Amino acid sequence: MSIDSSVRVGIVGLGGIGHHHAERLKEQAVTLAGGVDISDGARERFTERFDVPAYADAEELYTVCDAVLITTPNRFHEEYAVSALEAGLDVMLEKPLAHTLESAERIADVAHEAEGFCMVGFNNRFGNPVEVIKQYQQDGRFGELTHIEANYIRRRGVPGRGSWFTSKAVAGGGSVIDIGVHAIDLALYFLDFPDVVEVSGVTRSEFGNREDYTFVEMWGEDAGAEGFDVDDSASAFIRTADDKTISLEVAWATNRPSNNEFVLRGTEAGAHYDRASHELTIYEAAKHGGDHLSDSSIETRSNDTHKAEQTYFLEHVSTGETPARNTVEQALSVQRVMDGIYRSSETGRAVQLE
Amino acid sequence: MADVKLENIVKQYEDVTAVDDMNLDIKHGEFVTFVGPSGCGKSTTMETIAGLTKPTSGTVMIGERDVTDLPPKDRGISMVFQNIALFPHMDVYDNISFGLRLRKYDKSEIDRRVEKAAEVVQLNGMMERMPDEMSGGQRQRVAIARAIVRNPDVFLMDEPLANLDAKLRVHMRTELQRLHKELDTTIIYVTHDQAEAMTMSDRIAVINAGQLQQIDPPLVCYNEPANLFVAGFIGSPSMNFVEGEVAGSGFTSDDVKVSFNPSDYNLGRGKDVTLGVRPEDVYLANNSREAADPTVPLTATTDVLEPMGNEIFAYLTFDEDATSSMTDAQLPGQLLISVDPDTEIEEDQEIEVVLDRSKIHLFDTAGGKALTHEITDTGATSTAGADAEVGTDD
Repeated sequence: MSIDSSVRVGIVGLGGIGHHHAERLKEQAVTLAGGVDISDGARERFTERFDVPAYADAEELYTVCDAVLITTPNRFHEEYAVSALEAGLDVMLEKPLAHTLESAERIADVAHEAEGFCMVGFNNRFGNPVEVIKQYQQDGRFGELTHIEANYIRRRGVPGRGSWFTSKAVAGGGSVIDIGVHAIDLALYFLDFPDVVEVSGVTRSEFGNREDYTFVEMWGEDAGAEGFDVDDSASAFIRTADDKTISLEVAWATNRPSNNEFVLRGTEAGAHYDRASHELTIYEAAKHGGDHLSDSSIETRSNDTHKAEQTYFLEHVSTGETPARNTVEQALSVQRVMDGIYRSSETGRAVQLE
Repeated sequence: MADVKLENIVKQYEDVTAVDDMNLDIKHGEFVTFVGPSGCGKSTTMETIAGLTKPTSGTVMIGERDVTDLPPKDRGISMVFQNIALFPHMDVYDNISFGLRLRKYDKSEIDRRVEKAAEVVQLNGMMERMPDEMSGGQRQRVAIARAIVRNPDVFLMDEPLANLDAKLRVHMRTELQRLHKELDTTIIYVTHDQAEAMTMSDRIAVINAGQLQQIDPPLVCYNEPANLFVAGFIGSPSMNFVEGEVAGSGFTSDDVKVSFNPSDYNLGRGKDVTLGVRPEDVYLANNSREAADPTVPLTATTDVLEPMGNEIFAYLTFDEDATSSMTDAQLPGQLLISVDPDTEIEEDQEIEVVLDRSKIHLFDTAGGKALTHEITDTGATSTAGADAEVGTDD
């Protein structure tokens, strides 16, 4: 597939991640047509930096675009995804699909019926080690994958306290919906998105709500504990219809070392992938030549996952073909698991997913 | 005209068969309701018609078109779900018109259809309201209007009233019936609520374990259930069942004997059969003239009484060991009957009852299939044993 250079792309939501995407779009063989934000300051900064128009009204952007990247706070995903799809555009929506399961379902309903397609921004799938794992899994090298340990644990990493990230009304949740979403997505992706039947989880709020929250670095500004009403860590166990399992550890803040490791256990082989260091090891055993255990260290080129994801999106915008990766259905499965974790934590028991 | 036909639909999930060789033929303009216990396959069958689930095998026809491989948007259907799913950031007009705008209809055509749909569901004058300014019933009307504007060939409704309170649910039942008449369209409806199924449907499709048990008008399902499952599932409270076998003189169990000529029903001697009788078809002996064809009286003892206002449910026991903690109709040695609310009846009272032979059902115990829905008098007399009891024989 190749990218059609006549494709025009807009960005809705001109905050940090909007700029991050715009920088990469400028390196793609397409036109960055403009942006949308309700904030005057955000629009000015965007226009100044990227030399393209920025609008307050999304409809104005839609008339000069073929596709949009939506990078607003989670609560506004629905409004812009729905209006962009209604305008006939292709959409890439940053993760998570939405701030609530109900909102995610409404977006999915519209995406099913719309002319354009909707892809969801799970960029970690485009990391080269993940591509290798997925290829090995499709080749059958792991046999049947039966259990995944998925970790996305920061020792200290609560994002800007007082920003929308730490407001339940806007973000829909905290660590689970911000970074747990990536860990859940990768685990389900490795397992080929089986039906999840049960989720048991506990979410905690132990650090972000403290006036004496101690940290070394913070993404964004720290406005203190006031208004922090989301989780900052969670542990969960996820069971699928065919008894495959995922154990999940997520934290914005904990008193333990950071960990972004994935362990895959298969009937023929396993894998250990450290997303932080990009190290990937495959664990196998064989009888030929005498019983032996074999560990293969896999080295890949490091790559920019957001850019690779954009390239995939733009190739599909160019051809009009609906992407098979990062679909709304898969994002909805991830959203159901996150919703299950929150409900399980609230009710104090495992919840069944239909 | 949009008939809906399911031909040999199978939906297999790993080692679970959710829908097992389903065949259905629903005519244009019919209101057909799928009922069955949780996990029976009724929603999966609906999703197969909608295109939300692809069948493992089989064919879905809507009108003359094979839609098995078509996406939902190309099937000419509209769906209404339990989860009302209105866009919270859009007013009523925008919510109702959204599907048409997505399909690029002319503004004038959109206005015309929205106005008509709003009239049908009586939402005129509320076009600028936001969903959070409306009641649950109003929101559900918006959802229905959103389905109506698309002029679908078929409406699919999956538990659309389940989230409403009891009073509103009853009101919306009549609204949906009125809507069905006005629109002259096919409605396929999924519910676990028997009252909805009985009151609204032209036909009820009773589904269990992925298989169609019976599809018939509500009263046929009630009065002539095709098998033990339908007999037990349709009707609240449930039908009473007594297991026994065919003897030379008719039905016999340890507790109950009902005389008839087995050859009239092509029944061989020794065959295991189950007798079924609904609570309202059992009468106090002193009211036996109300039964079209009463059996001889059986003596029983009242156990638990449940006064419902318009009737009293009385759990009778024929077993001396039965205790008041046994409150289900089908427990051994128990029979549930319905009596007039003015009846003078007390707990632990010895009474006599008769069964109406014309309302007695017989089922093949092994396969569950119905054998007859009445015991006709061929000159033989119904008798109960000297130690007459009604109950199972185990």
